[in-house]
Amino acid sequence: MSAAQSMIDAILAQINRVILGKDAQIRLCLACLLARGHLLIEDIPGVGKTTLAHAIAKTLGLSFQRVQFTSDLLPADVLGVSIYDRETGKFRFQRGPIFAQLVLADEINRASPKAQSALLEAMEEHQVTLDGQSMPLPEPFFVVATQNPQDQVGTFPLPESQLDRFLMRVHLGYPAPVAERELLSGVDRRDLVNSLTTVTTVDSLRRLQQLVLDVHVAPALLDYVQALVAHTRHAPGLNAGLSPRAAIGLLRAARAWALIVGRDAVIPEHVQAVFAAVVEHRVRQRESGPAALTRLLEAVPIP
Amino acid sequence: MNPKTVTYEQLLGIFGCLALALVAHLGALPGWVLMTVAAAGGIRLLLARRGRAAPSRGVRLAVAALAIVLLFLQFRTFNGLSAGTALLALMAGLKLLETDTQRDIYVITLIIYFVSMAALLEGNSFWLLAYLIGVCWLTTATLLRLTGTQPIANWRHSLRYSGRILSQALPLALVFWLFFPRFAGPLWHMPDDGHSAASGLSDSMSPGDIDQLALSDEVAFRVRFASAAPPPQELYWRGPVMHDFDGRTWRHGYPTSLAAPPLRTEGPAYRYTVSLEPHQHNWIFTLDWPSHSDLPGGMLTGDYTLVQRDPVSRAMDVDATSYTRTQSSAPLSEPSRKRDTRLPANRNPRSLQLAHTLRASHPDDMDYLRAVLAMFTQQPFYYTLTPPKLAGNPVDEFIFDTQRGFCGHYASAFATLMRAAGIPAHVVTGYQGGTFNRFADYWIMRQSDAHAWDEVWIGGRGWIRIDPTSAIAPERVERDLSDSVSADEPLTSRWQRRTPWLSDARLRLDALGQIWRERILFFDQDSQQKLLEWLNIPEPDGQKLVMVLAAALALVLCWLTWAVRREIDPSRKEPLIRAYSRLCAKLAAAGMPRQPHEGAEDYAARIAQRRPDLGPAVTALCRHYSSLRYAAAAARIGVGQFDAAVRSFRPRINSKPKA
Repeated sequence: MSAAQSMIDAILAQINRVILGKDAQIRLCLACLLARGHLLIEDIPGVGKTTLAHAIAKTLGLSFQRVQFTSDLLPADVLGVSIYDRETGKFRFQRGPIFAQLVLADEINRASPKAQSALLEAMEEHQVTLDGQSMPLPEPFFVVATQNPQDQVGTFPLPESQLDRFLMRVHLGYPAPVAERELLSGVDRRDLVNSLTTVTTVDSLRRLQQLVLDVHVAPALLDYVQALVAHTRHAPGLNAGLSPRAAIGLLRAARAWALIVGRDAVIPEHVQAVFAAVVEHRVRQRESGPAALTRLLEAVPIP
Repeated sequence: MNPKTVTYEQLLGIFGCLALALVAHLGALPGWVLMTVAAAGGIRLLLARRGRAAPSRGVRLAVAALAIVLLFLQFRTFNGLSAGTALLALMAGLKLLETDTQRDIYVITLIIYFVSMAALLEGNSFWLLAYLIGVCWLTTATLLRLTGTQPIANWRHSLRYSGRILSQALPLALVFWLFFPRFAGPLWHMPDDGHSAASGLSDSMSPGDIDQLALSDEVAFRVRFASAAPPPQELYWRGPVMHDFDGRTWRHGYPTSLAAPPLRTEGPAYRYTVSLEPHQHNWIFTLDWPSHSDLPGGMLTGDYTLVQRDPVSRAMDVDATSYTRTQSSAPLSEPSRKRDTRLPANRNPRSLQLAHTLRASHPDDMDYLRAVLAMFTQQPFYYTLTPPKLAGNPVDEFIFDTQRGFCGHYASAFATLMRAAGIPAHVVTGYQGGTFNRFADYWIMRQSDAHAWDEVWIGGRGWIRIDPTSAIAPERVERDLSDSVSADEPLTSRWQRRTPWLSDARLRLDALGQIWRERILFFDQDSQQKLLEWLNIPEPDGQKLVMVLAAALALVLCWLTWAVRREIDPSRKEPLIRAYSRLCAKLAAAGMPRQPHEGAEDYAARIAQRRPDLGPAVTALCRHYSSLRYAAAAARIGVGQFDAAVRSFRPRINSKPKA
């Protein structure tokens, strides 16, 4: 087993100790991170979204900032603000919480569109521009946003164009009974997160991200990805198909998944594994739910 | 929406194609059939527009029954070309009414192809064929749009694609056209139905008959001379000869002699080919005077008219030889003399009187003849296409009152005056002049070239041709008709004369049609025999040819099927995929078919779960396959190994019933 593989296994094992019974979701989150994408976790409050983000930051040894999004949050609260320094007689930029390697944007859909877009722009550009001055964000830069389902009171749903910036959207869901019993009987999760050790360095994380790009993609697999994307574009029951950016994202996520499962080439099963997480928030479905996405997958034979 | 349901656009497209195919039958189909088809299509389109389905079964059945009864009442049969075509058209229209699914449209498409083909049983011109090919092209494009994958391509693409399909059929058509056995006669007897009217000259002539023809542009026949053509003033094309006159109408009457009396010929012999258009009479136009022809079953009557037993109902070519200068060597028989001097006693008294007066001063036949011709030239006779109407004694009124007429009037009047003087005379109808097509070296005779002249028996010289019309309007004989008529000529011909390029274009088109006729339509058993001999195919007989053709066709179809399947399913090309398909087939036979969307390793995992005994083997094979197919090129060795492994893999079929 290669060094990369053992590192990935160690990361997964550690996070799995904190978030119980959510192995698949944790793999998806890691794949998203390795594919240099941003992650959106959507679920009702209290299923461990924040804990998961914490655990990831802690395990990967990333600098961590958390922004609690509220309806009165201003862009400056996220990005930072220029303050007049009386001693030097100059403006000094006070960095906001976004200048961290892993930013947890908690309950992003509670904030006003203005604050949301400040974050999303930074996500896209990997830099912050204020008063005509550009400041690069640290590398790696990874945003984990959590979101309440939109039928809750006092939320501003993210528009499609901004949802597209997230490589994946993951649902955590209620824990299985066995996991829940362990949650209830075990130690407090927050304490557990604080006790986590760092498994990897920033450098080795970068190496892993580089390895993702080395995962081989055969022409036959591209055929399959193209067939899938083409199908979403005129499948009945979908209002919008996948954009080229989404297709690129799908392939990147599949590569990361291949790396996580220890393969040096992507096979269709890897695409299928990440398909729902990458695609669901980008296509407007007339009927929602995983069943519709499964049908989508089943409609496209593997060439 | 169910994709098998037809849409408004599809209905509209197929209805348009059907309408275009029926246009080729316009003349042959009864009006009510066309109207029924149009109404059925219109109603269905309207319903489709409003998103409604076809009318109920009861309504459709009632309409169909009514239509069939009407059809039977009209034709009294369902056999035959007209009734069959009408039935086909009617059924296509009614099918339109009940069209709900794509399958219905496929049926209509087939009917459209068939209706188009049926049009070729009625006519065989190049333009008809070109039109029908166009209809088939459009129909194929419509069909393609119906069956094509989403999204539907634009029309230009569909048309190009269907054009490609049609042109791929060309080699096959060529082979069949060249080698399919020809029959000596027509394959089936075309029922002569009363609708097909005879055109051109008839076996009677009244004043005013020919001037109706003169306005017609229709081609009567074309002539190609083997060598030099005679001068234009000798281009008289002999048709039926009129002997019996009742004072108004000339009729052919009963023949007095069956065989043509021998002629003493002078001058050069002219050999030529007459390409006749069907005219539903049994005579064949020949250059005056014909001596012999190659027409099987053809004969020269006592009038020197070439006839055959059956009417000319199809286009045909006749080779013949004529001499423009002849003398009768035998004396005129008594019955013939009697017949050609007979006049109705109490008609045209003023003309008879005039003849007696003239005859008194000109006892010699030739002198008398010249005197009559001189009368026509000296008195103010006019040549016109629109002569005044003549009543009870047409010859009298023409000579003494109106003095305006067409060739028929002059020929009739001249013959009357001759007979009144006891000189045998009859009227010959036929064509005179014609248009020379300098682009392809042949003459075109149109109905407007129809003419009537006289033949007079002069003792010692025999029958001589007298054309009194040339005495009035010599240019009518020496030149084209449309040159001579000025004020009352048809507008189209005047227009054509003023635009030479247009008449040139017309001649070129006609030449093209002639090539079509000579090369394509008249490719018969003889031509085929010659071709086969030239190709050194000994003793070809029809049965062998058909068998060879059928075998070749079957081979081509087999090859096409194989190629198309290979094209559709690339797995037939690549050994790796072929081997994997074999593996999947083996596992499917063992009761575990792969889902189309299922990846190889997922499939293996599923099998391992259901059949732990097969698990390791299948997992290894599938793993091998997906690494061969998806891994980097360096790992792509061992397809043969994989293939061998698949071949030796034999899953035991689980006899246990499924859990």
